Amino acid sequence: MMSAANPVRGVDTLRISDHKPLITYAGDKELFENLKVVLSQSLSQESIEWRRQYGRPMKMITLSTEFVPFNKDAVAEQISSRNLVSRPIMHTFWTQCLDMEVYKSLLRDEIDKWMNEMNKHNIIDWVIVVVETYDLRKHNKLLPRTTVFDKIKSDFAEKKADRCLSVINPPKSEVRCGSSAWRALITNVRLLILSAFDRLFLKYEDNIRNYREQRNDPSWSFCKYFLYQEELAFALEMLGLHDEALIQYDELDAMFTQFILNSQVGNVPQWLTKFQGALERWSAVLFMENISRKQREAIKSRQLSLLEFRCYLFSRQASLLMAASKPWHVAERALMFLHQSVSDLKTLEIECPQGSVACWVLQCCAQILVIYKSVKKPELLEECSHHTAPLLYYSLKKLFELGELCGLLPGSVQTTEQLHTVQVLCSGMQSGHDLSAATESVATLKTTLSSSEHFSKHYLDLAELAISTYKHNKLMRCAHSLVGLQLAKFYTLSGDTTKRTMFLVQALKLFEQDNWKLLIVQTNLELVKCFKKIGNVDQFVKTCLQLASSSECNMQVRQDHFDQMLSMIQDSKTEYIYPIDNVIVLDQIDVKSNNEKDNYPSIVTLKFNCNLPKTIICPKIAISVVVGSAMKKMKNKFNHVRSSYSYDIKKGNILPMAYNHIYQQDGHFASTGITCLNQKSYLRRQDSQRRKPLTNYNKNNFHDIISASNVAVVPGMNIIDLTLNNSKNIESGIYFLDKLSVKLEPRLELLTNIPFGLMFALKNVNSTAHLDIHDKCLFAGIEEIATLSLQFGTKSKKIVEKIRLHSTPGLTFCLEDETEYSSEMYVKSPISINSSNSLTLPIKLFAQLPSLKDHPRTAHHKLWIKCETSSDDEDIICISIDFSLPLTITHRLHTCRYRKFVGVNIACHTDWSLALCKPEIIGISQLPINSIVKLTSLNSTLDSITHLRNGEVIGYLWEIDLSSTDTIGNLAESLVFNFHTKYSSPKKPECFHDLNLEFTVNDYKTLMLIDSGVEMAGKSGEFCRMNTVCLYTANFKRTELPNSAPNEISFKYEIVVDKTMWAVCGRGSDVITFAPNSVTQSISVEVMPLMSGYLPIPTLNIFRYYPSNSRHNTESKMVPFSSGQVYNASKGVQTHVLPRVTTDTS
Amino acid sequence: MALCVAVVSKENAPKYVASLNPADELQIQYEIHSSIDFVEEKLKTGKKDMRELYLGQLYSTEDHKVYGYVTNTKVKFFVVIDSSNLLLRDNEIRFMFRKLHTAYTELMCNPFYIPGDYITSENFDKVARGILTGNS
Repeated sequence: MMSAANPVRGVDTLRISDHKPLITYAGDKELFENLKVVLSQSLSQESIEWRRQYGRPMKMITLSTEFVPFNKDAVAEQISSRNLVSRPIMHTFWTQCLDMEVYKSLLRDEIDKWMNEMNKHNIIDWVIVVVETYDLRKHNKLLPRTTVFDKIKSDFAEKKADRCLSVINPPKSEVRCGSSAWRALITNVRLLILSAFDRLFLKYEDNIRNYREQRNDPSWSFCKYFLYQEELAFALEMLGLHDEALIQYDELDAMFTQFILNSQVGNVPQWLTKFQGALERWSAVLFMENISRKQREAIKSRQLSLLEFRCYLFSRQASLLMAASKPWHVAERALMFLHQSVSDLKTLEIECPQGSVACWVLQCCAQILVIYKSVKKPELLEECSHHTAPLLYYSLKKLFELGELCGLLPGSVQTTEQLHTVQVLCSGMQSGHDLSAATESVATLKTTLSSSEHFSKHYLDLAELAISTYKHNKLMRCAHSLVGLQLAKFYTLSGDTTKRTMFLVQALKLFEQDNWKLLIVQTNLELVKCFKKIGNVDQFVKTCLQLASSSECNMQVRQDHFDQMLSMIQDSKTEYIYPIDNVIVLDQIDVKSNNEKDNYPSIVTLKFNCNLPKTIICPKIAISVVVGSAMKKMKNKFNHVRSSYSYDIKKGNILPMAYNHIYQQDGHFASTGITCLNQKSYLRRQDSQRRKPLTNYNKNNFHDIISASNVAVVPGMNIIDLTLNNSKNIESGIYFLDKLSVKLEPRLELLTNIPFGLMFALKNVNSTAHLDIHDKCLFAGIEEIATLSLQFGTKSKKIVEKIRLHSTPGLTFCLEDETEYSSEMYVKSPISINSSNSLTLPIKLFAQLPSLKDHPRTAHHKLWIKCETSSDDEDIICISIDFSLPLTITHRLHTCRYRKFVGVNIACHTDWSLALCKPEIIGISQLPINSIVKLTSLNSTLDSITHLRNGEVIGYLWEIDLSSTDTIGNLAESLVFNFHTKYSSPKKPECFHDLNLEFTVNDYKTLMLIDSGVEMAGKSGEFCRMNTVCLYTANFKRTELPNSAPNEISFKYEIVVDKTMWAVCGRGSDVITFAPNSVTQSISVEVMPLMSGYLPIPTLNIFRYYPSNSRHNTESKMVPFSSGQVYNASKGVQTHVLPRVTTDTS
Repeated sequence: MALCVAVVSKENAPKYVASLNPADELQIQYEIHSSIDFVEEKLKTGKKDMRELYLGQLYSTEDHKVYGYVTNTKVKFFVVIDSSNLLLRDNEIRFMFRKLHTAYTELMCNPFYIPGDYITSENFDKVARGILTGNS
């Protein structure tokens, strides 16, 4: 073992990198020994273009050469051998002879001999170099006619002048002089070497081709051919052309593979049968730099197994790639190589002991990884790691295979047979091979196979490495799905359920993220077992539910898991809430509003597909809502909320299209098309919107608002109606349907979000009432019929026990079919409210006529409606009712000198005619004694019925018999009258209502009579004339008062005129005083009419006057008379004013 | 000729999977799913030629080789072939993808197909089955 591990270099191994193109030298050896180092350095100093024939790509080559003395005995052998590496590529002859004589006597013969050797072997790659030592002393002389160089040229290289070169000895001369000749020499030598190689290769390739052509010959051997072409590769490698060398190997690889493929169709050449022998050794040796001569020999003698041969080929390819600094290609090819080799084994039907291939693969992988350890550059390492991960995964799988075979997996016990297998496998790896790289991997593998513990450790190490390499390369799917699941398998055997679960869950996440259903199901099937084992009920139920509803499983599996889940839930106490996922797939949601006015949805119809395998009775299916916006803000948006919504989940992503008609300016139709509304929201980039699993399952406040209970959900399509309950407790507003909750079991709830946009408006209407009247308005004092409409609010109870109505005093009412009016009433029930949530009550109303003294226009009343329900909450509604008055009534005291009359006027305001009858009046004088006033009716129509129409007025008049009011010579100060009449409306002509008016008349007694007139001043009896001063005369007559004070009484008068008619020239106002016994008094004031015609005479206002009294410290004051106290006899009198007298007549 | 043909959406969800042997389908699905990693990696590093949609071999095992193709809209096609089938050249695989792509384009042109739905088109299936059996 030790000797095999440390081979003696040079004997058993071949290193191409040690070889350089060989150049022989002959002639002046001493001279050349001096030049050798300089020459060799100069040649390798620069790279040179190698232009090849047949248009192959040009290559740059740096020539590093090795010089050996010319050996005429070895030449023949070298030429004939196929060894391209150790054969000299060029022969050189060196001399520094400058003396013609010496040349002729000695040198020519020497060269001639050398040339003969060349010619003998048909060698044309030769060069003769004449080295001149530059001598300054000689320089002064004349140049000789011919030099030795010329002579050599003419003697040996007549036609090949470039093969005879002259150079000034560089070490001995100054650089300035010698360099150009030296450079020329170097360039020439390089070119000559390359052309020599070119020629050699062309010839060699020809030979190879010829040999290849013979491949159908039964004696032809690929192995031989392989070695043949490999020489070419060696030579190319020697020149540093690693990629060119690789091409040779790749050609060989392809050829070999092709032969194997051809063998499939029965074309098995004889040499291939050698490879088909049963596999005996499965050690894998990958060498990098040192080529095993032994192995080449084995190829030659066809003793290599297929795997060994493949290994050899791959290690050559790998080493060339490494040399070309492309290590990642090694890894890239490694997997292909392994797969190819394994497939070759199958193709060639090579008998391999169980596990042997796995052992071989594992060794190969281990060694390839070792190769990488030599890579130092980080960027190359990074590139490599991309390819090592699959390699690691491959070996992981193979290791598992081995473990299975040898009973090394956790939880299994090795049988004797399996122990024997291990032994067989170990011995198969012990080959006579000798290179150190392999021993480590063999040892590792042997240790791994030695015991279950070692196996597990190695397996987990490898898996860790594989998974982390994948992760490092950000290949998460590979890491978790390939390696992760492999590890889960391992942990299944080892019984570590926690770790198994962990890896399965990680893989599941990936599958779910990408939505690979089959893989999800597969992983879930595994996970269910894990969750059951570790007792994670929550996850167990969730996974069971998923499995039960996945169509990828067969029905038996689904039912089985469904049953398991149900039994698990029944044993458990906690509540489970899961996303609805695939269990129930919503198809359509319809929001139907039952009540147009209030617009709240009575019913939400769900159409969904249930994927559960069995029918289940769901305790509850509910939809929660969220507040879209508060009622107040959204008031105007209510119009946008339709009364019914339908949403088809599947068609959710269909664009809303509309017709788009285009018209010309003149209104003609131009074109039409369809256009997408709101296209911006649909054309949004959606790349970043990945399918995200729902996470938020918080219930909100309104979670049970729309629901249905105890619903049977069958597998397949279901249509279920949910109703809105409990809406009375919610504020008004717009609500969006938010989440759907399906309770499969009392403790198992599924939640999902409902697509945004489904909404309904909830208007929380308070109960309202209003009175429908049949005419324009209601009249007080008349029975009116109206309809009381009650609109119950959304919060009202559906059943009202009774309704209490009551009103302000003065308003009485009763139901239409009753007759008894009252101001409080109960409508007994239970009254069931109709579908529109309203109630109408026909009602009769009667408002008493208000007191007419104040001349009111309307009578205001209120009506309260109180709905009493079984619970405590009550609805009280108040409505105001305004009654107009059907008639107005006025009264007045009239005077004629000392006589007094009472007038009553009634005006009608109704559209219909009002019937009046029996006007009566009763007067009572109050002070000092109450007594009835005698009244004389002056009306003619007291007994008949008078019909009044709108706007018409009727008047009644009575004369007061003053004697009946006179008590002891004095009239009573105030009289109270009570007017009474009856009226009826044409709706009920027989039903008369009373109309009363009570009024009081004070100071009705006439105290003063005034008689006034206007006449020409100084010419009484003549008509007044315009612009002429007239005399206004007023006579006052005081009524004698029996008990009046003897003091003098003063009045103040005021002449009031229309200033366009009269101008008052005298005193317009003054105080007149009656002496205690004087009854009459008169005044006259000068006035002037300003226009002609019949002019009303100036009017006179008169006041009672109390002069100032210094004793009582009172100021003078005026008190007006009441209307009946002053009688102006001249009221309304006109006087005739003549036009002014013209000048010619005067 | 091929073992499996699959279409994977740009979100990496399978939109069509057809395999020659239903028994292999699960294993192949695992492999295709893992191959998405390599497609994404190739897309991330940026293709040199935008017109080159063929991605070449993405993944291989002893039994299967997974080839990939990605459209400009990041829809991925996968073809899985038997590893032992060495007679299948790269060009033939390219041709398979080209046929698939054409069939897919035709499917997309169908106004009754909603992009993103699982592919159930008979025509597409016919093309895919043709690729599987090699009779096309």
